[in-house]
Amino acid sequence: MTVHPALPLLLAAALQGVVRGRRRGPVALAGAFGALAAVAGLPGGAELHVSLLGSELRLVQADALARVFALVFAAVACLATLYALHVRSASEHAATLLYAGSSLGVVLAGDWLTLLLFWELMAVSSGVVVWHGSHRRTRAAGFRYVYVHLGSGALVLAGVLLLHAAGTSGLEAVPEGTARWLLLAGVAVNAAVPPMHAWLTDSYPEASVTGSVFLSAFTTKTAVYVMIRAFPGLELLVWAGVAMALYGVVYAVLENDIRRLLAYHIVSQVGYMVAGVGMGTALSLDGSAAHAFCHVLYKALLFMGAGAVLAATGRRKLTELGGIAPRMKVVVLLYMVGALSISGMPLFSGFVSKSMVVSAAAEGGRPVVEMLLLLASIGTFLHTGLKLPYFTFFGASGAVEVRPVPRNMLAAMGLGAALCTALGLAPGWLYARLPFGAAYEPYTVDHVVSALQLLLGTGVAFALLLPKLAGQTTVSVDTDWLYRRPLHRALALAVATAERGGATLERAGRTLLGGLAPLADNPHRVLERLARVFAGGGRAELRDAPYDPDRYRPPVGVTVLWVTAALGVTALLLG
Amino acid sequence: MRGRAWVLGATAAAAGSTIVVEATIPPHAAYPWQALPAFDLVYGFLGCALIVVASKALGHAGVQKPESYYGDDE
Repeated sequence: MTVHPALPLLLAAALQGVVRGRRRGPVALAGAFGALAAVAGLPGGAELHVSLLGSELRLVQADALARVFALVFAAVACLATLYALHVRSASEHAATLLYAGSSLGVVLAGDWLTLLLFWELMAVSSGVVVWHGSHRRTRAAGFRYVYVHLGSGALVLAGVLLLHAAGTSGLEAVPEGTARWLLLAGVAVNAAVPPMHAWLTDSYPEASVTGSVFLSAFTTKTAVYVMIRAFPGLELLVWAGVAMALYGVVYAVLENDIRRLLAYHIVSQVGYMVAGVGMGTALSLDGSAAHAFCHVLYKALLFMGAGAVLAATGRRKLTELGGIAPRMKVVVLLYMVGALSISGMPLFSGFVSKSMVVSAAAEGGRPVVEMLLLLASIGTFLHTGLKLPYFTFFGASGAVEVRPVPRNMLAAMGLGAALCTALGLAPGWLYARLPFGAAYEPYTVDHVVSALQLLLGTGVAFALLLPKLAGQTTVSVDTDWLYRRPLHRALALAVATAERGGATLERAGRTLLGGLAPLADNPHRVLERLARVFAGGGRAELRDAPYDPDRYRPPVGVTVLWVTAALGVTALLLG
Repeated sequence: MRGRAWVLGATAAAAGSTIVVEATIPPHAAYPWQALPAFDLVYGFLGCALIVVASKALGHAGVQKPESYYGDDE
């Protein structure tokens, strides 16, 4: 019997409303490990179908591509839930579990309709995860996040409906046409392809310490998964990916907030995956899948490290940190494993996956793409491996109070670091699970020498340019400026105009009613006076005639006569 | 200062080692420039400098704003 791996997560989410206090974390963790066990136990080619409203939904279609994404999603759900074990909030646990479960639902879906259902659930649940941040910017950032994802969901919905109308339901390369472009636009938003990326760098740093670890893992990688399924070999994606890879590192230079700096590097790293999809060869597609796998783990580890700093010091800006390494030695060590992994240092995970995409560019006769991806790799080491740790842990020492980091957070970081190192040391385990069967050997002498030289050259330049790289108390204007400034002001103007118009209408209505109210006091009198006017009585008489209430009141006898007549008629009818 | 000197010395030693190793292995260059000695070392150095200088120029050209730029929202 096939158990959907999302089921343990959804059950654990539901149980959050039942269990209390300290038990919530363990229940969540049990759900995450249940999901990992279910993924590990999925037989190759497993399928699970249900009928809903006359449609057959393929909830599980576990081919190699789905399994490799599901495996890393379940693994990172375990790590992130362990990291959040101390959290007492039922709603935060429920939201993160629902988010992880719906992400598993997306990558295991066997048809577009099922994928869409989980896609929308993922958008809503991740929005709730963002809202659990405690920063004063969280609420507004969460709303912007939800609005953008509702928009991207609408694009995907439109594309899926068009595909269904054309009789296509299976997840395969989408043929040319309107549906393809709608789907591509919707998926590109979730992949954070510039200029549609700002939702990510706007919202992820505002989530809670634990929530941002979940956020770093799922949404962009489900989009990469869908791109591998639907758009392999689409040339546009090669250049979109290169642009992403460079865009993230350029903005990271200017960034002062450590979690926003890491968020820009999600954009950059997903760029490698998107470029790999665009190249469309077996090596590049396997490279995209492998890099997604490694990226999920090392990026979660990096966000855990930044979260540990935030939890210990209450500070998140490079300008407010520095000199805390002696009091956070374990965090520094584990963070550096993530930093070396993302930087493509040999023996760590990023080296064995990123180099696949770069090699695919070289093998495909794309020297410009190869050189630009290497340039982005330089920027990644510069910021994540040098700038952030230097100014956070080793820079000028300020009066920073450091509180102890919960042990479960350190344990999760330790496990994440172990996985990053294991993947770097034994990449064959991952390569054997890749779906397109490309043969690749990362540990050739020239690969290793090339990678080391690139990192060393970057290190020397960093040492010389150190004064230019210190954090600055600024914010960087990105494409979210469009909806945070001009669009926001246009909406505010529209609301103010509507309010002014409403007030004017209200005043006019009151004036009109004030004029009509005397007429309503006694309609008989009004009618009589109108009749006099029309009969030639004149306006002066109408205005000056004294009011006599008895004049308009029928005699009591007339009223009694009418009531008696009505009762008589009623009695006759009923009798 | 002692730590800084140690890091610089180790970096120089590692860079020298890679250049020696590079000289001893058969050439494996997809493009002519990759056959240049210590090409990746130079590319890493120049690439890093380019990223920093270009990003800073972009920041000064209007991308960087005061922290209060977005008002209460920020």
